[in-house]
Amino acid sequence: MDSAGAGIPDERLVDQVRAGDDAAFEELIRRHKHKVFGMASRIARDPLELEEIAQEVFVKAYENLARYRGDAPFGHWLARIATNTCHDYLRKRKQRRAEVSVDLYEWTLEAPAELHGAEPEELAALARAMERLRPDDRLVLTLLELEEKSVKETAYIMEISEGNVKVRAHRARKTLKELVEKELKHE
Amino acid sequence: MNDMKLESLLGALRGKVVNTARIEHGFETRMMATLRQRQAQEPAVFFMAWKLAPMFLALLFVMGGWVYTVASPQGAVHFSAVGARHEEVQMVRYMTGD
Repeated sequence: MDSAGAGIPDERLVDQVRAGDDAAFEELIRRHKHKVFGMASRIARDPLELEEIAQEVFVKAYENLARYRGDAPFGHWLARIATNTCHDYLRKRKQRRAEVSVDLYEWTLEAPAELHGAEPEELAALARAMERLRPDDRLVLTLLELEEKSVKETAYIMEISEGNVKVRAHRARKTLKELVEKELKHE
Repeated sequence: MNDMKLESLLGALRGKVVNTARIEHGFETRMMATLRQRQAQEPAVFFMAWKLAPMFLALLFVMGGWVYTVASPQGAVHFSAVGARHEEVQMVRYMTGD
């Protein structure tokens, strides 16, 4: 299914995959990979880890496709899986108590972008501070601030209430501010 | 650091999107290969589990027998005592160490 599946809605492709048509899943990957990579690149430390996260997201999606009820767009359902997978990665990383790598900053800076009046060292401090946040806090900020999801979308993706999203975001911002200040003092 | 400063830093970080085009290239092909590989492995795992089932069952019987015969003779005495309605006597013996 190269261009043939192009006009078919996601939900119909899902039905086709359930009926055993793997080519339909390939089309779903083609359609949604960019968003999954976008989300995963906020968490991954290098291209290898990025590919690993993205693969895990689509494997989980494929294996759990029977559970997709179609009450939300397929993209939102996939974003939920992507977020859960990123959460697992962040948790494992915390458990390993890995050192915050400077590579992360270098890797995220591959693409030049507007600095919004921020100094490069301030941005590096922010990237390190993000690494030190609790996985839940980091994800809520990633979704709201970096991926620019609405509170409603974030609530659906994180499987929590909208009120809870606001509370977590407020707490995460406060913690992030403190961590950035600490990072800047250390420099 | 005030809220405005944090907002501007987050805004700058938001703009720093990694160019994933190179990694995305051919991803669906690699992904489908991974899925096919997993599908091929799954039956092998189930087959092994099925083949090993009698061994686990035998092990379960051996361990069960060992628990009831060798491992807890004290427990067996108590159970027989309960059956014979001598639980209080047995309990006192057990507590006093007789």
